[in-house]
Amino acid sequence: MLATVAQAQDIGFDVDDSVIPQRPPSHIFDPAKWLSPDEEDRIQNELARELRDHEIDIYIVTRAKQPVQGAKTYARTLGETWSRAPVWCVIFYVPGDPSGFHVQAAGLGLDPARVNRAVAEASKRARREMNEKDRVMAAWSECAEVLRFMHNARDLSVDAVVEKQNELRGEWISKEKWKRIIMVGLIGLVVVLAAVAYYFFTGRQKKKCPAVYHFPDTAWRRRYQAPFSGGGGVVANSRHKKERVTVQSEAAEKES
Amino acid sequence: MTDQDNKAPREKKKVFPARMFKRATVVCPSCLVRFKEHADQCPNCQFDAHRSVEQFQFDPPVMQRWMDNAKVFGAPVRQEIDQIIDRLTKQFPQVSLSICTVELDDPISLSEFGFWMMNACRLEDGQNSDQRSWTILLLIDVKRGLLSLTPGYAIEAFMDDADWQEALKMMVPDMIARDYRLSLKGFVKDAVQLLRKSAQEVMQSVKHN
Repeated sequence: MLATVAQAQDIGFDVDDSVIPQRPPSHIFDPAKWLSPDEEDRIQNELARELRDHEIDIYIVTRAKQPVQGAKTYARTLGETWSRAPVWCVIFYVPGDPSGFHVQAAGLGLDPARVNRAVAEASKRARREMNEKDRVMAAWSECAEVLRFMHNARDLSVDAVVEKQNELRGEWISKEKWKRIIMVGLIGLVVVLAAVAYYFFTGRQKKKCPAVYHFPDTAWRRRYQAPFSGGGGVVANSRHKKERVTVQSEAAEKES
Repeated sequence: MTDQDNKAPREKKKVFPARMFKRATVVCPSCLVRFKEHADQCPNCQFDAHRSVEQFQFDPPVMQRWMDNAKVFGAPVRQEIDQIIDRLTKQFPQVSLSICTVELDDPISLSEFGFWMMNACRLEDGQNSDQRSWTILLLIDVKRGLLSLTPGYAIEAFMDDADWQEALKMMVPDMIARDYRLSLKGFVKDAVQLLRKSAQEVMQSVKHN
């Protein structure tokens, strides 16, 4: 009975293809029960270091049978869903499947075609191993290496691009700043020159009223037989306005 | 203000036509109709000096700066206004400003009364007849709330009626509130500004001529 239970524990289980399983707490999702606990521990430590040190999130996934969507699609879906790092890789294997393991990988800012080529080359090297388990172990190691290289190269190139961009931007800002300063200076100069021209070349100077001024003599327009003044028509009447104000205030009083 | 001072008028011999400056038309103080030509009698209402003498048959007073018949300006107010008027006469030595308050009844025309005062009032001690023609008389009828301005022949050439009309209108709100001090103070300040403005324009006109 104990043997049966033990055997039962070693029997894998399958997952529902229509449901994406949750990310495993470790880097290994082994429903097919293909790896031993020791193997899992060993791999887990190394994959955890890969994530911590190199930002590459690698998963080893087994299934009892091929998923309905196909190994590649399934592996890619898992990788895109589970990934916590800029670069991810999923090594998918159905124990006993003559086609062997499948690798899918991708990285932020990495050319997908280049990634696919790189992991294909890595997989080819890994397939030289003698048995499937060694091949899978070699696969994640080889893929980690190439992805590490590509990720580092991308960072370097991105940094270089960013640095260059900053440099160019700095130059541009500096140029723009100087352009603005020169523009403002030119406008100011034009205004000053225009003012100077107004004063000197048009021949007009604004004269202020002198402190003491004598009006010139004029020929008087004597009229109405008056000796000193012909009178004036400048009058003002505050009476009508006062009446209007009174009427308005009376109206306001009546309303209240 | 510049430091350039205009010298005494005796050095200037040239006499300019009044119409060259602000006096293109004349107004009858009785009917207030405006004419281009001056005449011995108003073409519209036949007004003349004789009629005004017949109308106002009493002893004309001496033309002074203050003729406060209505007793609305106390000594402190006069002192305050005097300071501003002194500034005016300092800058424009020819010009004098006279302020007269009255309490007249309808239908006496305030502009006719001003005409009569300017021509009939006796000269102040030390004043000559030429100086009368440089006088601006401000009449304030406190009973009826009327204001009028009567300039002499010499100064009228430099007074734009519209500008001075505006200055009188600005007195109205304070007149209604019976704040004669503020009303007059505002007018006198405006008068200084208007004369300055006129002086600048005259200098330009004379220069171009």
